[in-house]
Amino acid sequence: MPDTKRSVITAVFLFLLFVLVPYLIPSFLPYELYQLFDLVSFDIAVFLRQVMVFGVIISSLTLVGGFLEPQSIYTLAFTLAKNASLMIIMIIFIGGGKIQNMGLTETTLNLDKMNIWIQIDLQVFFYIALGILILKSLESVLKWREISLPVSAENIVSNDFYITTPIKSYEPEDSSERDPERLPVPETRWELAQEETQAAHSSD
Amino acid sequence: MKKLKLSQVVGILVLTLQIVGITAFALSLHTMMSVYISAIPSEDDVDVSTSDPVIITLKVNPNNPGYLGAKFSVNLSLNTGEQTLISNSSSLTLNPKSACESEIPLVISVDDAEEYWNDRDKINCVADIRVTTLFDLVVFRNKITVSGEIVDA
Repeated sequence: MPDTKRSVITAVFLFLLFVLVPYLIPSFLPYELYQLFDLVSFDIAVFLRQVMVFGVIISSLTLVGGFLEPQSIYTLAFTLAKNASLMIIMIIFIGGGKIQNMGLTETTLNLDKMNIWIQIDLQVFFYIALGILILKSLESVLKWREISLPVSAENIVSNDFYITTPIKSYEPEDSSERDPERLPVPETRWELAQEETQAAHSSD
Repeated sequence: MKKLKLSQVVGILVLTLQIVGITAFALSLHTMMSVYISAIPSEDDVDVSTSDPVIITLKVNPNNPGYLGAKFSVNLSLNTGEQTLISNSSSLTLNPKSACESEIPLVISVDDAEEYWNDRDKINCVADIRVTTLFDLVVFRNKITVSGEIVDA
């Protein structure tokens, strides 16, 4: 069953965090900070706009993904796209708004007779974010496979008997531990056939 | 003991990597900016001796209040844009919660000092400050070029 309520709450939270907050930030920043941003050639509006765009993408993917069946291939696609969008937002923060620099930020400040050049190298965190993205994608694929497979090794009772509807777990029990109210499970197809024959005779 | 699925193992690995990444990011930024800001010299840290030879001494006192080790290096030079006239550098290794002091002298002969003073509009004073942390993986560089005056950063 799709987890709709959780996806709606998560989508609203992501929208507030990555869209509404960046939208409201410029109205709270002091004027001196804007002057500083101009001096170092940092376009705060472009930076916040990038964050808001990917915030809309992530919250939309989260919202729509909550209405899909967990075993659907589209759910997997949405999850992978959401992971990629989250990592792009992290890279935007690390790179100061320039994704193409991959964590290497440079800026130049020119005053009267002074030139100030600043470089911040955070590329190691870009590669850590990339590693996290790859592992999260792998985790999403593995989880989807576990949910979507109709028959798994857990469902096999014995070599001669297969349960077609998935069950959570089954372990062979000793007769001493067997619940007396539980019906005995036939161990072979022969026993199953006998039970069906007996049931057919009793109904006649 | 319940056997973990492969997806759960990968999930634990992702969570660990996220926590380590965020912690390393916060600690390295804190260390980097703390060392840099503490090392910025003031007017009192620049000493000019007008004897023969002329000695311009820059004192730096970087302080590392962070939890990661850091390396601090500064290169002080005079150049004409095409040619480096004189330069000197200093490099310090700062352990966590420690401080160091260093002096970078620029020794200039009296004749050269007079020549530079006459051509001071063509001479640039360059201070190149570099702070690295997290096993030299995180780097902060600040290059200040002042034309016609002694650097006063």
